[in-house]
Amino acid sequence: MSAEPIASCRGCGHFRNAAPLLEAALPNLNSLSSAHAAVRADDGLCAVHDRYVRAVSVCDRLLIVPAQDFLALRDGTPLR
Amino acid sequence: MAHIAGQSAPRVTAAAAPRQFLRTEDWWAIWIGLGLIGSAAVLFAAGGSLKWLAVAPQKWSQWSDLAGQFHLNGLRYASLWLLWSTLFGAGALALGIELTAFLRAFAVLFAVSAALYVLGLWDQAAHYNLEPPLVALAVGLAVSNTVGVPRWLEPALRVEFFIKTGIVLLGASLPLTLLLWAGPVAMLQAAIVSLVTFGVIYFCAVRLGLDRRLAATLGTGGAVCGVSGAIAVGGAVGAKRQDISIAIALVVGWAIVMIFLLPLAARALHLPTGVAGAWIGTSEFADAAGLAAAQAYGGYAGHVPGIGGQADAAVAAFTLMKVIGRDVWIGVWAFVLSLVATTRWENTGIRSAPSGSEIWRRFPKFVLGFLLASVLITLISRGYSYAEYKKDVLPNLVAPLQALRTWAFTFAFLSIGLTTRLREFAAVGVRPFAAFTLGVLVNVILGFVLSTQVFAGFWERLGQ
Repeated sequence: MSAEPIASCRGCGHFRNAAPLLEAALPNLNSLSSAHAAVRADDGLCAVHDRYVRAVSVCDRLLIVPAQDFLALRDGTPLR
Repeated sequence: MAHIAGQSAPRVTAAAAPRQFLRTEDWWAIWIGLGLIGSAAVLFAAGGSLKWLAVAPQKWSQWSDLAGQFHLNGLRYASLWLLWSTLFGAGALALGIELTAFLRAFAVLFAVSAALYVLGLWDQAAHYNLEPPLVALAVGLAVSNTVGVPRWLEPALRVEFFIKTGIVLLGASLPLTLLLWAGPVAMLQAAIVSLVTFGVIYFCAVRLGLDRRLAATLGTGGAVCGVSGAIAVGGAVGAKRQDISIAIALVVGWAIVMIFLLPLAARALHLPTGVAGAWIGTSEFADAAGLAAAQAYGGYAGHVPGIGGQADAAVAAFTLMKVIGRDVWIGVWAFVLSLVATTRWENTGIRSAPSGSEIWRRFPKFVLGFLLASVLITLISRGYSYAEYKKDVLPNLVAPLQALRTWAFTFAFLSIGLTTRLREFAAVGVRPFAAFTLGVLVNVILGFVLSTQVFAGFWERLGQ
């Protein structure tokens, strides 16, 4: 864990890239590939744009959340 | 509490760059594969062998033979189960899978895999076309799409983890000299097919009015490395979630068709194992699917009249073509297409600066393990004559690793079927189906011509 600027999808509350969540959101992904594969890097789903994006992407609707909420969001837990 | 960007932009303690060497299946496949090869090498140097642990069923014809085998080797099978449980369990735990859930499910996977392994060694198996990879896939598909897979079994169904571990172990069977001799031809053939297939799918999709990001995702799924290619490029270009689902459905659907179709066609044409392996490596979409087809075809050697070459040549040619020729380029495809998407395609409202570091970040790291395994075994066997190699190195060092590889592949083949749920396929639509299917046809025909005509002599020699 380290501090990093929030200004990218990686730290956005709309971004979901936990492996179990991706495998649930993309049916049959794990039948011939995996969300744990190196080729995925740290890409994830943007809940606002409904797109699959790089974690270093940015947009005008980044949702900045405190760290404890961010970690819960990343793993798919609803924002409190 | 949340803030919208544009207000104060605090710094938070967020996820650090993940420790990829412990957080991806690729790296765990390397640690497990090279760990086993290293252990085998140490034992071999000390005058021993890993073969006690790397137990595998032998040919059998009567139930009494089989019962005798298990009675004699029960402790060895239990030890092997413990070994795989420990190694894959450690990896699963690091990947965030609950350990007890994984171990419970893996015990069942191991038992069913053992049964399929045994079935393949029945002396009538070839007569009834009971090739273990195909039977494993068919059984898995039947269960998954009829009665369904119980949820408690799902934690152990890690196709990619098993197949990558098996590929690293496969490196121990392929000397570096072979990779250097065959690698350039494999790369050339794979490059031709990849570029043509991508071009056909992409331009057909665009001509049919599909979004360019979907076209690119479909194109790399068909031309480079299947679902992995689709998610790598889909993420790099910022495709819609539905685009990824469409690509997964098309790739998995066609890959499963090809697992059965390619060996059947190659068998009907009596292709030598090396040639058939090269064709499968060119025209299958995913590593696990292609290895199932190649291993099944290798099983025909010596059992089906008219099919020449060594059994392992099909898997070797497939691996050279698919892993060395196609998989290693996925990072380059992702980088180039992200560059094009950013500079040439319509704006999606999401901005992302392409970076050359993408090439390494998306590199399928398990390939490094495969290459290192080859280097290691080549160095160890360097001082031996061919006769000494056959008498000493092969049975005591390489053969146990081949048995372990077969186990890992069997876990994967069974898991493919069990994780493929046809009813969950996304509705793909006529146009994506048409574009992808045209690419499949071109890919299969071009792969056939290159493997059986242009480079036929080369692939035939590989199998001798």
